[in-house]
Amino acid sequence: MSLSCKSKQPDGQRRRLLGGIAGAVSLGGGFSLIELALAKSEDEAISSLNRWGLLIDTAKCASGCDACVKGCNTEHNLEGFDRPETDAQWIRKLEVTDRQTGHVSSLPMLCQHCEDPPCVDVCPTGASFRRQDGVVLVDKHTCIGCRYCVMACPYKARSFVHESLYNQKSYSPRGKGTVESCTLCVHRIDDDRTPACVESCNRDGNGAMVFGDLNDADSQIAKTMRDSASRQVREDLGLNTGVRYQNL
Amino acid sequence: MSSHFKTLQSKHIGYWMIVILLAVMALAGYGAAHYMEVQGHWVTGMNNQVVWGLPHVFAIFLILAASGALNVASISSVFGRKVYKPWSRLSALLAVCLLVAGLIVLVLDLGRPERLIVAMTHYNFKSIFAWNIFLYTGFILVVAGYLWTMFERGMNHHTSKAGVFAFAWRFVLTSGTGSIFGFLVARQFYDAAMMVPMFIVLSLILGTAIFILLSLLLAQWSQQPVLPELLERLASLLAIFIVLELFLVTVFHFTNLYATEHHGIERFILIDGGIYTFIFWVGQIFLGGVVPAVLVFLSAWGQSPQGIKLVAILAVLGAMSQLYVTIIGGQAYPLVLFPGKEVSSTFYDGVVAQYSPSMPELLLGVGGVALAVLLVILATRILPFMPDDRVSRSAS
Amino acid sequence: MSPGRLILLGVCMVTALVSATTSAVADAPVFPRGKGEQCVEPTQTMRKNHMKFLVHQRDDTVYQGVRTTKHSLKNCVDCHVQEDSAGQFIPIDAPGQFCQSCHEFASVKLDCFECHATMPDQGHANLGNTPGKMGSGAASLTAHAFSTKPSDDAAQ
Repeated sequence: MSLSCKSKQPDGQRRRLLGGIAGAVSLGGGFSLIELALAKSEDEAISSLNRWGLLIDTAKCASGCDACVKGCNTEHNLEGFDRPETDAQWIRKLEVTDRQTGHVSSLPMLCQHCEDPPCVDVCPTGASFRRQDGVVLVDKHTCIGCRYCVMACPYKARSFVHESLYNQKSYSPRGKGTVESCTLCVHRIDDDRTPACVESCNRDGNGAMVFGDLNDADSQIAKTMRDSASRQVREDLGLNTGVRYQNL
Repeated sequence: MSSHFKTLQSKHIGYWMIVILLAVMALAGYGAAHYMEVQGHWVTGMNNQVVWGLPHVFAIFLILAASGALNVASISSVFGRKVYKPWSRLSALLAVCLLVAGLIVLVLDLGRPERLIVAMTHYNFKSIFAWNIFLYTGFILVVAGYLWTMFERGMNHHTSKAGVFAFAWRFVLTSGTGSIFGFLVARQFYDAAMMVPMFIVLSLILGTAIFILLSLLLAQWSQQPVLPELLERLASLLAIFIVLELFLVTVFHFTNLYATEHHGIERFILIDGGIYTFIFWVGQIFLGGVVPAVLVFLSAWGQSPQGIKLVAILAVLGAMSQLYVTIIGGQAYPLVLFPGKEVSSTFYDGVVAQYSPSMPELLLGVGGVALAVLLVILATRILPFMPDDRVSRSAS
Repeated sequence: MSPGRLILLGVCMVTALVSATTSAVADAPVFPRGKGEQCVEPTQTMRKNHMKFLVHQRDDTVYQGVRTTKHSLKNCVDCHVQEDSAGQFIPIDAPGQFCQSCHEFASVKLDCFECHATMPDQGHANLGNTPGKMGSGAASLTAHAFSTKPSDDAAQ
């Protein structure tokens, strides 16, 4: 969170190296040693060996389906006050129409969990931060509610809590006067579970979302992304997002 | 020629009425901020589309004015212009008071204003806000030191050095304020280095105009007019700054207009942005730019005290319009997530955001302005900030 | 002011002070006990240092993803939350409840619950203290969890 320039090249090399190891030690029977090593106990700290991400197939994502949104809202109790301009939205469905061709895509938009997040750059107190495993979060204990991160996010992924909240979930603290956004369900990740939106999409939707470790060469998400094209939204900004889209 | 200074302890009924009015306005601003904090920001016009509203317009207005208000002192001690010297103390005082008021407005609009201490103890040095915390508090200290060299006879020979330092500091400060917007890659209307010079010149306009208005106000009670010579020079300076800003704004929009990717936002601001287009053309360009420049440069009346007062008022109006269009208009235009495509969602993607300022926001902003003026008036009662022309004249 | 009046004033002030302190002790907060035999740390330690444990755990959880429950706020709430006669949880920051009663007495603003849940998640109660299920078995289960942990630490 300081101005110190992190050298990305060696880091990237290290990741590739680790990916190679992961590939080399992968066993039969559909699991690898690395995956076993990743199952983290509750007192274990997260590691930069992982980078969690999402792959969303817009060809499967159906217009009108909002299973992911419902899943998120239920998980984090984002019920709101029926004031759409100020109520929080961590994930929303976008309808994207090509002006020239008329082609319509439907896709969920949420925090893209950038490697170089503009929200983290601008946060004066360092409350907006990126976990070592790539999840971008707000430390609401040090958020002063200046909303500079909301101004800086290119994805409109952040919401400011405009009024007092009650009935928060124990694993998802949220409160008036601070900024919040998709946490990629860190409480689930730390518990080796899948984010609520992905779970809902698989259960009630069209199975358009895949969650996994982008650094683990053997994970389904890494394999799919290696074998077929995927895109970042606003890739011109060079943020290296953790959320990628297929067939966009 | 040595200058002499005095306190301003008016017994004028008008003086006290204005003091009371300002105090009431400042208190109302504080009350409004308290209401916003207890209720949450949903009671304001702000929302998840326009997250910075009228309080930010006023806060940045005050902060820019603070930097510019130092003009008179700078011209006196950096450029050695004697006619400005009697007013240099007031100029520095005004700068500090405007900045303090601006910071108070900014802090009171935070989601968690009571966590100010967190902002003082946790820093992310890549954040321009974090730089600004140092630039703003540093400015107060630098100008306080500058004032000390003016007040303390034994330190007088350091005044020009302190003046140069303060002069440099305020340019950096205004650059920092412009960078808040200039470095935002996400939004179409920002993300332009031109924001920095535009904010610097805006600060020169605002500071000069507010100094003119305030010195005229205080001069009524101190029974000493601001010398016409000084007033005319300030008006000419102001007009030059206004023309310079018109030039910068033109360059900014032309640059945008050349790049197809910015046609959307330019169309919004210049043609079909409704209230923002109106404020841009009528407030910023015509009333705040063309009219005062024409008055000063092309009419004799524009050089009279009444004319200069009107020019200063128009300049403030123009600067306020520019800040409103930049801050609110820049947010009202939707983010471009997919260039060349139309987007829609439940979260106001692809549509112009609605924002209408609410009463609490207006009270907070106006309260901040009132606080700045009140602080100046109270400080001039306590310490000799005001020029004492009678003594100056008899001495010379 | 005459010396006699000064003495009188002094006596009045001392009396006022003494009565204030005694009444303060008499007004000491009364709050419900937590479930189980003892807290995760000795009571005196918790009284003095609970905020330090919480802040330490909070940073470990937020930044490191460490999810141990021993010093977590969630654990505090799970153990100290009360139920009303209808078996519904009472928010722990409600007047007279565990956190609020003491903080009110000490005049320290309780900021945790602006954001944090004031009661266990309904339907997510993994400590066995869901409304209506609050039998002795569940209570002893949590009690066991809490009473064993400090001794584990001591053993190491």
